[in-house]
Order: sequence, then structure tokens, then C-alpha cells
Amino acid sequence: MSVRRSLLIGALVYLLVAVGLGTLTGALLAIALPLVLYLGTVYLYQPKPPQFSLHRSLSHTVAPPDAEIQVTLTVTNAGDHLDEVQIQDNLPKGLRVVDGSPNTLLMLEPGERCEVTYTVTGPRGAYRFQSAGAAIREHFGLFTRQHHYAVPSNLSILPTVPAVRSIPIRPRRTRGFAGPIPSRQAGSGVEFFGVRTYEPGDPRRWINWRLSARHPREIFVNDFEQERIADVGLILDARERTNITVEGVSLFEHAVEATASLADMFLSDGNRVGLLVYGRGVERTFPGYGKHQREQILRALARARVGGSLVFDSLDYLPTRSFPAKSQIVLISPLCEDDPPVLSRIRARGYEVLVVSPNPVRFEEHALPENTLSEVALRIARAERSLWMHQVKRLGIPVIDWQVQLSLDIVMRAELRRSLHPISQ
Amino acid sequence: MILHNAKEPDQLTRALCYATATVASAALLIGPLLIGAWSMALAALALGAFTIVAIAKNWGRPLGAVEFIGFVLLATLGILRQVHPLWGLIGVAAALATWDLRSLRTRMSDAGFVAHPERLLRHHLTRLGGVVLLGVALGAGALLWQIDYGIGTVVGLVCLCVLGLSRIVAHIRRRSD
Repeated sequence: MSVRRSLLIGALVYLLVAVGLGTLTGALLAIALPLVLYLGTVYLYQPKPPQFSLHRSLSHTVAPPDAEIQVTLTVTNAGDHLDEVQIQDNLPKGLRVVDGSPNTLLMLEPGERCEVTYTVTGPRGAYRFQSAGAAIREHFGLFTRQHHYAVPSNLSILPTVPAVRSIPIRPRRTRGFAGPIPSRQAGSGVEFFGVRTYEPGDPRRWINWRLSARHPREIFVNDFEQERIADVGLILDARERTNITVEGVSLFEHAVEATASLADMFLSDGNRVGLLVYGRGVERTFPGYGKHQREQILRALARARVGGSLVFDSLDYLPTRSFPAKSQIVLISPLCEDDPPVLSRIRARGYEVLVVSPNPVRFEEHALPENTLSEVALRIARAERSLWMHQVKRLGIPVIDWQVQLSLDIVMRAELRRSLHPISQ
Repeated sequence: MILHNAKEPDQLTRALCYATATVASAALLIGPLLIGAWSMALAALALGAFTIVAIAKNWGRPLGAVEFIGFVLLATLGILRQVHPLWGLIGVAAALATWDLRSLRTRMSDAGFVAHPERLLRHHLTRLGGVVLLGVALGAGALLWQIDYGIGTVVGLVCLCVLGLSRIVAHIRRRSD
């Protein structure tokens, strides 16, 4: 637009000069003088290449969903006076501005520093600010210089972590540190494991008096099951084929929340937890402990996106060998028809498997039109899903069929209570 | 004039746009009225009214250019029909100021936030005022002081002027992003 304005003014001056000459009217040349002076001023005060620096800071680099994050862009002019500077901070897709503006107009004196502040918010995700643009103009706006500055910043908006209570797991192998998981070995614990002969140093309260009375020459003591921590591998199914979106809400978001809750719960119990996001590709978070690992997993979940891939369309290529042998695997997936055989193979390799399955049929049914066709389709879908659930349960794999409108904690408690036993082989 | 918040600069620029549009329209109305050119006077009145309505309603950018062209053409026609050229000179200078201030208002409203708007406006008005007043003064001086040149000299001077102007416009086009 500024170039067109300067062309227009030039064209009007030419017109006045041409008509003035053609009609020998000198007054027309006189009225062209303000326009010539205007253009001459633009030429005289054209902005020189700017020398300023841009720095961005965020009030939080990690935040919960829909939290407000203040972005501050600091502009420092190390060069000459700048008549007009328009700064445009390029927002990553997905973030929205709730206060202020990333587009600012200002004037900068030599050495002056100015801060541009605005507030953004957004859903779960990993956002990367790449660059900011600056348009430098003289006062009349006819001459513009555009510059782009690389000002990278990262923002992670983590998923919410609804609390879930501990669930009992019994992987076939545990780790060497004390924890809440029965280890199938004798040692210090609270659950009765067996009896053995008395050894010097055993506490007297361990003596099994009833058994010892039947054997006059020997004394027996009770042995308890040692409780240790375990390796838990969380696998989040991010395949496009298993995801559905209803009225703008994706089933995958519920799966992410469930994964976050389970990770938090297992880590709080002291277990070593790893994450694998399987969909567009394979994204691994190596197993670890404690708050640092929790942070790592939540950041990985913030980055997780549904994706399609011909290679990773089926669970056949799950790199389960990357999880410690005979550890506990928890798969968070809506499941589809060719998943049960893969779960059978994983189980056969010695892993204990638990499936938390967000129910896509119940998720979608309220949005379907109410007619006979929908009713029939729903019944078929429910029957199919029920069949897959049954196939998986027959393999000895507990399945939590999760209707996502309900709390995962309540559903897990109910399902595990229904199975009567803690999860075991 | 002390400005306390960002709304006041916008109100000031709007007021100045009204004022300069009124001056442009009045100058191009009075000149033809004095010589009895009623149709031209009516055209200047209509154009002035349209410009003021466009400023009030914040109508789009291309209209500003169309209105400016209209004022310049009216001034040209007026001079060709023997209206005193001073009226045309004032009209064109005021129309140029109107167009510039409307462009400034657009840039300020397109930006979501303006830092120190009163300072920006003060600098802009200083420069614009200087250009407009100097342009009117030079134009008035050119009208008062007449020199006879031969046609060859005039053509040569005009060619120099055209060449210089072409270079300025080409430079702006080339260097501007």
C-alpha cells in the first residue's frame, strides 16, 4: 500500500506538470509543490537499516491447560532514531491472545528500550515461538523496511492430571528397591508368604507357635512377601484409526489425561515408569523415577499428537523389547479388531499387561441422530467391541472399559473389584 | 496539549482529519463560488461531505486515495477555469494532510497496541505541519513571483523535475519492502 501511495503521488505530480505545460498554466506547477515536497521528505527521512535487538520472555515455560501466560517482547534500539516501528510477534498455531496484542506500533529513540506485553492461553500442546517481524517506516508511511528476527521460545502446556488411587499390579519381575509391589519373594513385608526354620536373629514375634508345637526339635517362623518397586511401561495409542472427534472434542485427549493420571499414580508409588507414544511414529520417554520423570512424561504427553502412518497402523511394530523383561505394561487404547493377537504375543513374552480402553462407542453415541439406522449401527459397534474385550480378557489380560464421561478412578475401582482378584497371572 | 491515554490520540487525529477535510473542501468551494462556477462548488461540497462521512464511518483505505484524487482534480479544473490558484493550492495541501492523517489512523488502528501514542503523534504532526506549511509557502511564492522563461528552458526544467521525481519514486519502490 505504501508503494502504491508514492506511485499515486508521483502520478499526480506528472499529471499536473503535463497539464500545466500543455495548457501553459504555471499555477498548476505551483499546486504540485506540496506533493513534491512530501515525496522529497520521504526520501530525506527514509529509515536506515535498523540496529535493534529483540528478546522474548514468557512468564511460564510450562503451564496447565487454559492457564494465562504473559509474553514480554523487549525491543532495544542500538541505532538511530526510528520514526515508526511496527513489531509483529508471530504466535504459534493454537495459542490465542486474551489480553494485549502481539502487534505493536511505536517510535524508538536511540538507545531506547521498550517492552511489549500480551497474554496468551491455549490447550495442551508444545508450542514453539519462532520469529518476530518488524516493519520500519518514516512518519508518512510511504517507505517501509521489513525485517525478521529469530527469537525462539518454547512453551509446554501440560495435560491435566486427574488423581487416581493406586491400583494393585503384580508384574513377574520387580526391582531391587522397597516399594508397594509384592515381589513373589520372601523378605520384609506384611503379606504372609510361607514358613521357614528359625535362624538366630529372627524376631520372636515371627515365631509360628502353632507349627513349632508340632515339631519339638525345631522352631518355625513366618516368612513375609517382600514388597518392591516395579517397572511400568505406559503405551499411549496415538494412531489416527482409533481416534474419533465428536463436536470438537477428541477421544485422544481423554486417553492423554488417563496416561498422565496413571503415570502420576505409578510414580507416586515409587515405581520406575516409562512412556511410549505410538502413532505417527514411536516417541519414547526412557524409564525413570520421581518428580523429574513425572515432568518428562507430562512434557512428552504435551507433545503427543494423533497421527497416521502405514507402518504404525497396527500394534505389530510395538517395540515392547524396549521395556524391561517381565515388567508391567499398561496400554491406553480404544482398541480395534487386530489388536488382541498383538496383546497375546506381548503377554507370551512374559509381560504383565493391563489395558485401559476409552470407549469410542459410548463417546460418540450421544452425537448420532436418533433413527433406526443409528440404533442398528450402535448395536453392531457395541457387539464388536464387546467381542474384542472378551478376546483380550480370555488371554488373562485385565481390560478397563472406560466410559470417558465418568471418572477413570471410579471406573478402575469398579472394574478391578468386579474381577475379584488383584491383577495377577 | 496534554494527552493521558491512548484514546485521546485517536480522537485528536480524527478531529484533525475533519478539520483538514473541511479546509480542503472549503477552499475548493469558495474559489469557484467567487467566480460563479456553481457546479464546481457543488462538486467540492459533495466531495467534502463524502470525505467527512467516510472519516466518521472509518470506511476503507482505497476511498482515501479516491477522495484525494478528487480534490486534486477539482483544484486543477478550478485553476483551468480561472479560479484563483491560491484556493487550489490550499485545497491540495489540506487534502494531502487529510489523506496522510487517515493513513496514520489506519496504521494505528491496525496495530493492536500503540506505545506512547502521544509522542508518536506529536512527531508526526510536526513533520506533516512543516511539509504542508512549507509547501503552501513555496507554492504561494511561486504564484507571486513569476519569471519568463523560453519554452526550451521550461521543457528542460520540467525534464529535470520529472527525472528527479522518477528517481525518488523508483528509489522508494526499490528499497521499500
